[in-house]
Amino acid sequence: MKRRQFIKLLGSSLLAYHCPSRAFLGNKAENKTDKKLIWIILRGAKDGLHTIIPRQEQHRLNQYRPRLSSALRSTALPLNAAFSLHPSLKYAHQLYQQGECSPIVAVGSGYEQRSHFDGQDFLESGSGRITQTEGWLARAVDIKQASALALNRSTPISLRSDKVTASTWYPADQQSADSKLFDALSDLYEKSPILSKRLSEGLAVSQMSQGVDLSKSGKATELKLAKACAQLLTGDKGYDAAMLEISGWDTHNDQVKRLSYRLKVLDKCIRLIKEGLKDDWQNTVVAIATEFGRTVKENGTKGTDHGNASAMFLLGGGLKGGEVLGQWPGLEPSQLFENRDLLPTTNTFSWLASVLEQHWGFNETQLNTVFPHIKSYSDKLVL
Amino acid sequence: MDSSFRLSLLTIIDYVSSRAYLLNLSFIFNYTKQLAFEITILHRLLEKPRHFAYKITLFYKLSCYIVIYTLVSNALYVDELGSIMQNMNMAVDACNRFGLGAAPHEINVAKANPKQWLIEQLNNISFSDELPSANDSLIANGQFHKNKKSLNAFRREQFSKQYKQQSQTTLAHFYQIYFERQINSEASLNWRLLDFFSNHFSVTARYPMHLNLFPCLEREAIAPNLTGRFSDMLMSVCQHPAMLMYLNNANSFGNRSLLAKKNNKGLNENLAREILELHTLGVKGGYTQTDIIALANGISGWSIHNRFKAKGKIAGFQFKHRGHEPNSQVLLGKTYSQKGLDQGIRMLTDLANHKNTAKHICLKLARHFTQDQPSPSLVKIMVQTWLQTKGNLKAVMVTMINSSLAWQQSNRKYKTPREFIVSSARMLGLKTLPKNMIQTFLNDAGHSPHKAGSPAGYGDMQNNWDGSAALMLRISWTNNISKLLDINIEQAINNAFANTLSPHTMATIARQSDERLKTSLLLMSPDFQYR
Repeated sequence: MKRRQFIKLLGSSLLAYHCPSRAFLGNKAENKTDKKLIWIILRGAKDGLHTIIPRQEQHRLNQYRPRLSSALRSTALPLNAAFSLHPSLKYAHQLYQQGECSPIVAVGSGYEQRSHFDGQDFLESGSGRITQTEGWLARAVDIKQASALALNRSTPISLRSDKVTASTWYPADQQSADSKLFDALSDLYEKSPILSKRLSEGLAVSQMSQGVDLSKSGKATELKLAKACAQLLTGDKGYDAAMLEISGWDTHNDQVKRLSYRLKVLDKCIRLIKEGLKDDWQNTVVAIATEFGRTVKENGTKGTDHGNASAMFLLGGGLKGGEVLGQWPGLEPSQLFENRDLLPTTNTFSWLASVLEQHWGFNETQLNTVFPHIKSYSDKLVL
Repeated sequence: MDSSFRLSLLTIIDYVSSRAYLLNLSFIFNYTKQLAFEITILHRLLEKPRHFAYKITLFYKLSCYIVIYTLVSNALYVDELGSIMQNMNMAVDACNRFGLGAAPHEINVAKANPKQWLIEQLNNISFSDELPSANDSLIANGQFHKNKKSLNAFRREQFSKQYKQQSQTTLAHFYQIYFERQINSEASLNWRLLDFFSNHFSVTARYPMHLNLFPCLEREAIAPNLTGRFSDMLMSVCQHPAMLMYLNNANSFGNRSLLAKKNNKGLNENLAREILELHTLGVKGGYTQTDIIALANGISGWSIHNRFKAKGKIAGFQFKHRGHEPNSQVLLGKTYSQKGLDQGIRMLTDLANHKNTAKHICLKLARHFTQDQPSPSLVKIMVQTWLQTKGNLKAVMVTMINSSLAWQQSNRKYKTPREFIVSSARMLGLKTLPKNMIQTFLNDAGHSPHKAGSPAGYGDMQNNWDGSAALMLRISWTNNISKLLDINIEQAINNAFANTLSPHTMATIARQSDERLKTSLLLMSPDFQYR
């Protein structure tokens, strides 16, 4: 009997030798990914109409936005026969020509009330309701068993969840404390689960970001964060998902100058991300969206007020790219939403779902968990 | 019974009865009186040995009464002690939760009657420092632009830089004074209330002009109206140049007004929208897009004197009647057919007294002072007071303070960065903090005054402030401040918590030998991070 058992053992170990992954590693390995996702939220309702400019409707633009349009007519960067890109987005335009950028027109999240705060909460929660306790990216990260980082001081709604712990990182000028204090604090927080969790996350991120180099990124904090984001995502120990935010898009006045500047910042962030990711750019998708767009007509202070549909961007080395996606609804008065805004023809969440499906390999059940109220699109986004 | 025995018995009885009398234990007092009577009158009977039985009975009675007395008085003492403890807990919460953090000896002052102590603090705040007023800032800005015009290109850049630096210095100076007053105040509830309304009417400074002007909103429009009617505060804020500039109403003119036709200007709905969404009714307050336009029309022409013209010696609010949208407006189903300035005034007054405004603001107040999800019953009684007193903020605060629902022990509020450093300074008995410990920290923590980035102001719930990066920042600040100071840890604990610090924290601190580490632990303890 002993000999027979011994031979059986030998046989099975030989088998195991040839299929190591099945024998030794568990389910997690199958989900461990080198496919990265960066979610950038633009807070303040970015004007889509002057980001992806509908060239074919120039006469309507001149009619609705006499003072805003004149500044853009000649210098916009052409995408195709129908659309051009705002002149500030030079780097994004280059990426478009290389097939690494997909601009999407007339996108709406489904939220129609035009309040920034509710709109942003709706966009971040992704469940068809306005909540502050859980976000779509947290659910996606949980399914994917991925690690997530918010380049922020506290956890934004997109990454909030009871189950998932997203770390946060933010540059600070303060000197850091020594290990004796951290040890004592671990003791102190024994009975406080939230503070204890934050402390361990903080220490982990601190470790990881020892080598983060913020030089030559520029003065604006968003640029530093973009550069740090790229560095913290690269390599084996890098995070799988990250979230950034850029504010200042609420151009109720002086839109020409303000939007131009903001788009320059966005453009530079994209550049810092691509350059920072290096080889990882090939397997990264960056999704950029805003809570809603702005009125088609300009207002009395050379700006625009809150609207509905806006522009969305997908960027990445592995994208199909080079094509303007979405469906243009038109700017005739009958084609506008509530007679004042651009009509949304596709849904922000559906595009995000498509990214999760094609880039992170989510199946229908998994997509339903993340976005219970919509379906993904069949457009081929990722190669 | 010999006389010495009797004497000692009577002494004991005397003592017991006097304590009984003081503690209102009348039944024991009566029995001991009877016992004393028995002893004095009947002692003669007890002298004969055959009345040994009497002695025993007497002795037995006495011991019974002493036992009963001890038990009852202990119970009363514990109850008294219990109410002493309860008052102590309340005093601690009064200072830490409602105030800005207990300063040395503050708990002692509060403990006699914590609720009353708080109520007596509610007063308007006056600023009598040398900081420029809104009108001064506007005039100075007008001068700056006028002078700039006469310079050549190179000088112009220098001059602009100088103006910007000056504005930054003024703002920094303002911060220091402001935080020092908070740290040293004996009526810190007031300052907390000022902070609350300043955040409610949040304005974010972007340009050098704003750096001078925006802090004035708090000083001039909010602080003088802290304990008055909300409608007065709303009116002051909506007529203050800071708010008019920030939300673009200064250049908003009715589409059919004379100014619009003449100068190709028009309506900007930003301020009207935020008044409805943030300042009064709240996002679910039941208004529509049409109401927003109606209000925007109602306050069109609410503007600022032109500071760039030579006559710019007059500054501040100016109602440009030629920019006001003519005709009546319908807001929330009511028609406003007043002319001129009055139309907007009536609209705002009605908004301020609206039931949904009361609900919105009372919820925010209850959320700020008590817990992230405040008790609906508490909000209800506050709303009742609001509606009864037509929005008297002091009355609403008194209702909140007097209700036991505001003093819940669980679900405590997580301190914001500002609350953290101010309460730290107060507990440690400091008179001030170095500039970099305030301004640099608040910048890094994302809680600088007037930098919220949106008119909704800074968030007021734990998940707005609680994050790993945020915690690491506080640890770093704590580490720096512990290095600077020599703190007596027992005194610090006593200042902020009296004897209510949790046993686990006490034990963890006591275990350390390094004094500076003890201070850091106290500042970062869960007890201190929540209020």
